[in-house]
Amino acid sequence: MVEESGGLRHARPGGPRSGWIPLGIVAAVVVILVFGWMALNAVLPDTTPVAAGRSVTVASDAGYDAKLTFEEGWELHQGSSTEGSRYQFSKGPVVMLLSVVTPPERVSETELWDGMRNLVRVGDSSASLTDPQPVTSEAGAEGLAGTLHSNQTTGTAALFPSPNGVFAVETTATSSAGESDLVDVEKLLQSLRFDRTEGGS
Amino acid sequence: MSHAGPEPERPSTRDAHVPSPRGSGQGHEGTERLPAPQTGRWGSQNLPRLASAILFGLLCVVGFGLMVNGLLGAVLVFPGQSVLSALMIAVVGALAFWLLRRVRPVTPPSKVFSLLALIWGMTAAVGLALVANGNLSAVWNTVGGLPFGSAWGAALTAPINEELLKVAGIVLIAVMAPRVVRGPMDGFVIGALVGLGFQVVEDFTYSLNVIAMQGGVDGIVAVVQTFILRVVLTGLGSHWAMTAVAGTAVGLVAAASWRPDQRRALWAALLLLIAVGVHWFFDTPLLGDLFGAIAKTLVVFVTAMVVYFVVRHAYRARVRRALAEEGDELGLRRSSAVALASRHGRRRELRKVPQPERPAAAERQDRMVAMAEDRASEYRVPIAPGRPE
Repeated sequence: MVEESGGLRHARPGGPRSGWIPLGIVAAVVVILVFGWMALNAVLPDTTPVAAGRSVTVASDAGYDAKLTFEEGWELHQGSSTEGSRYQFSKGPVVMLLSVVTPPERVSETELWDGMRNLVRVGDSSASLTDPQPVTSEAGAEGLAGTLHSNQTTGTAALFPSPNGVFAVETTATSSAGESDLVDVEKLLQSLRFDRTEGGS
Repeated sequence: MSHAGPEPERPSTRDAHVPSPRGSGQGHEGTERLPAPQTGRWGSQNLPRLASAILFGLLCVVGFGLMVNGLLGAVLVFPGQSVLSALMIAVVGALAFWLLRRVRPVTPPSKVFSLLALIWGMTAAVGLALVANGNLSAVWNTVGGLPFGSAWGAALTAPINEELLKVAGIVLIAVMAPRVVRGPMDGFVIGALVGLGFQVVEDFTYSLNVIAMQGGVDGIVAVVQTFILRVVLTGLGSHWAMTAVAGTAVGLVAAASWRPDQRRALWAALLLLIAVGVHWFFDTPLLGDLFGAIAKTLVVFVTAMVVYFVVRHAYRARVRRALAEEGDELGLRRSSAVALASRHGRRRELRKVPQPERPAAAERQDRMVAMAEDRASEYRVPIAPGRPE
């Protein structure tokens, strides 16, 4: 029986390629999936320009659309964005991250700001937000704004709850060329508005 | 799918060297001569097995590093919620681990390789998928535009990357330990365990993502909601089921020493496509409401169950036949020998043995079953014609 067991398929010596072929396939698959997609992504354009004057709907929920109107020079980082939930925009040295959050129940602006204090630390443990100030966009959206501090940079942060409180638009912006460029973000956020849509509550 | 034909295409081993039949009666005579089952050899296959083990370990370490890099920030900011989520998922994960090992008929899979399968799913597959998914999703967003990428990106990304990365672990285990993945049944179970590992980490990651999506205002609610959605409602038809189907494909090919004939290769390709297909269906934006999610879950679960019962039926038939042959060779009653194919049957046979002799009888049973499983794995495994064995 020992001799017999030695003849079992999984115990027999394989051919010269046995074992190496599946191993090679695995290695190739891992390389393709990890480095192949990375290379393909790298050769594709990272950004697409946002047309000046274009109004972009960044969130839509429960009867409201949140819209931003862009000036000349803004670009959308498509690879880092997901429609309706997360966007990365840039203009020169300025980078603005926009997130759409949906709290489990209606909460105050202050509670949203406290939540945002936590969220900025997820990506950068040194990041913190100052106490916020009330702001109102030119289009009438009310929210809070403050300053973002971290070891690397200083920037701005803002949040605007939808009128029915179902969702909120949160932004953080930084500039590699100094805070003066952040005025472009301020202008952009001044364009934020919440439009009623049909069928909303 | 079933390959349990009435006659083996490969010559049966029933005429090999076995102890001479002796008197029958208690259902265990003669088995004391049984040698220990073959535990694997490290001869000419030493190098690929070693290379597999090294690659397996290396990718687990790399994947773990990538995973920690992606999750650590959120875990440090939301420690209480992270612990709660991890505990809830771990309890279900431990239960599922026990259950999935249990579904293998005849005997459970190796504890060590069951754990390694789980670890692959939790580290290498998840970590590498984070990178691969991020890049491929970005490609879809860029090529198809943000609306297309956001709607269809997950369905066009995860099934390819995640299924292949999970399958890679099953293949590596099959190469480094051929006895662990001897056929489709082993592939199903090891695949399910890899998928389970992936699923528990993905559920944990998802709970942290939901905290962020809800604005970081009430993490406990996010954790509980995620648990209900990902574990209670859709856990039945998630990664464990998809990868079990894909693992069956690996088992089919491994059973032919990685040189399947055309028919077997087609079945394996079909099973892999089914795994990718049900994953695609699960991630598709179609049927996007809660009832749709439950319907998708059922489709995945039923698919895995169909594969399981077909493979299980074939495997049990082979083992019973192998035990019958062994029983004939050892002078056992056929019914007593065949009864050893199930846990219940082994317990029943043991009860017929006087109490003091049971430990030794149990050991003989284990050896006989192990050899029957070896023998069963030899039936009907055609090698592609023209290729040297």
